[in-house]
Amino acid sequence: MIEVKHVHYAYTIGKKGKRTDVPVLRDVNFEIRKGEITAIAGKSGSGKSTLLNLLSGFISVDSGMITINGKDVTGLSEKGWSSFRLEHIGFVFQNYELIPGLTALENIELPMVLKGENQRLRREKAEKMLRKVGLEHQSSHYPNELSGGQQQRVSIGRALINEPAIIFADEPTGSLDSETEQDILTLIRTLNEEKNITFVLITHDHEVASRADRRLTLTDGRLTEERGEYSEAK
Amino acid sequence: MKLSDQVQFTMRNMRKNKLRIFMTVLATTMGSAFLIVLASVGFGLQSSLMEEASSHQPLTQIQIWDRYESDELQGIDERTIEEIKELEHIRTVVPRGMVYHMDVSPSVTLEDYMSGAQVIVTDFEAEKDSNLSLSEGDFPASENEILVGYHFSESLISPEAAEQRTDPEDPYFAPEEGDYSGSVLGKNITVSFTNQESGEIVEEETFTIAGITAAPSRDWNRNGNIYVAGEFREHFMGLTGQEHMYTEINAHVTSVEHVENVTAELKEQGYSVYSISEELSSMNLFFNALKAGLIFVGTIAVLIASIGIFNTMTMAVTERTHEIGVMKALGANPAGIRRMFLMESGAIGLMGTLFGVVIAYAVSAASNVIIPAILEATTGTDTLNITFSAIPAELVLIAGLISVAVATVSGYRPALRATRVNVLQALRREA
Repeated sequence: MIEVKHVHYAYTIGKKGKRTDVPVLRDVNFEIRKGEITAIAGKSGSGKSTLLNLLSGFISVDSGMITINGKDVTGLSEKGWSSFRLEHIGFVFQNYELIPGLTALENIELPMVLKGENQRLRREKAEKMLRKVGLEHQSSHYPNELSGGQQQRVSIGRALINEPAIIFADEPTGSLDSETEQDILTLIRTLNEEKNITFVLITHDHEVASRADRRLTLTDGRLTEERGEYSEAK
Repeated sequence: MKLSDQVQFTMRNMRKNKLRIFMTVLATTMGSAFLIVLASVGFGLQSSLMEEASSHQPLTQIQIWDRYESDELQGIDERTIEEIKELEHIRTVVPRGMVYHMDVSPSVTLEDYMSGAQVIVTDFEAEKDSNLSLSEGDFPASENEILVGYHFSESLISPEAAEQRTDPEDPYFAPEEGDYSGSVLGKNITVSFTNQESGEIVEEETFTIAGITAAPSRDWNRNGNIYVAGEFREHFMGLTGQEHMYTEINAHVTSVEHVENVTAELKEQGYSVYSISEELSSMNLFFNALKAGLIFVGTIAVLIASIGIFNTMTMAVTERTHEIGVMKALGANPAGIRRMFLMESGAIGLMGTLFGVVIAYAVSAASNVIIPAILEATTGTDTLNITFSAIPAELVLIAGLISVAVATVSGYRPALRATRVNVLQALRREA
């Protein structure tokens, strides 16, 4: 599903003439299979967010190759990435990143709007999705009228609405209390089992990482461990 | 993203900051209204002067003076008139000729009254075709009926009044001196041809006045002529000894757009011609330059308003950076984002233009009432019949195009900035 081969990435810092490269990812290799929940764990500064940014096309690799869903995405243009994300990837962010001026229903609808789906189909699917994430009574609420857990549910609904094969979740429970965290992780597990969606979770939390099928740990830009606690426990 | 959704998003965004949008639209409104009102003065004065010029002579009329063939004066006769009539797009040709000669000249009397009227020979059918209008009576139905000019009665003087004058024989006198009262319609006049040397009357003809022409379009023009049917042309020529009797030939063209062609054709055939259209074309050139200049100056006002649009759109992009970032992260096409911002600035331009047009029409109408009133009050004249400001559809179209184009262009840079929003920075994600 996702294949990462010999990926290197470095930041350039400093002003013109005095530039230095700070390596973040060094020769990262891994593969994620379809239907897996994979946690990418690591301390802050380990390069896990950078890895997700590369997988999402927000930045591009210095060298190496990334293949998603059988497509080499390494050299995609900005426009190419736009339609690729719209088609294949759903996003769940730590800060939910909902649009404040849109209701819960409209936020969930947004990826379908971007895709150019017609309004009736959009409404129907978004309402169904709201029920699935347990927010059927909050459909006309704006984000600032929802709790953190509810906002993250909306965000998950938005990630799922275009039925992508993969969902990238960056610290999905990072801003939530532990009870709500369990709810969200259970929801992710249910969706994974129901629809066979591949999840990639970025987390620094051992508890979250332990709920995944596999766990990849990044230390100083290198992938040092690969093991699956959850699948072993199953 | 569908166009209808883009429109909806744009409208939602515009509603979010109504005051800011309102102020920007207001600036654009003022700019485009200023542009239209300023240029409308050029359009207004042009149409006033054109109207003024064409009231003197119909636009479709071409005056023909003489004909030259290899620099030799050929003169105009029956045959050349017929040739002109045969030309394409000619509706009619009015061949007027003044009856006058040094040796034998006609003099006009009505009852005892003497008249200084000129005798003109013409073709009444052609006069009718050329839309000569009458104030009283009808066109002559028989050979001995005639038309007289609107001021003919003023040219009549009684022998008693003539006695008072320093030179009673002088046929030219001021209208105030004429002392005829009552209508001349249906009266008989006598045209006598006198040999100037011997004082002997060679011939006398009596005519009945069938109609009186309409007043000349200009107050200072006086028409005291008498118009006699063309059948007398040969006869009168025989009496006076004139070689030709075609002094004022007016060709009437079927419509204004053919005037230029027909004028050129006539010139090529050696006629010396004059048409008001020819004079108007140089006047038009001047006014077109004036209008272009006014539109240019007015455009500067629109450009100033565009600074406001640029500001508003830059603010809008800054405010919505997060939203743009989210949409880009989810997979929005950069071109779609750009289009939404261009639509927003275009909408500001369009609204500004629409309100600007409405205001410009109001200002234009008001200035057409107020300015002549002020001028009348300050200069004391009441003959000002000028439209100061006119807004034809083409001006609205030009101003609309300029305003919307300027608005869209000034929104282009902010829109481009929106497409370049960095997703990571917008989402405040650690990179």
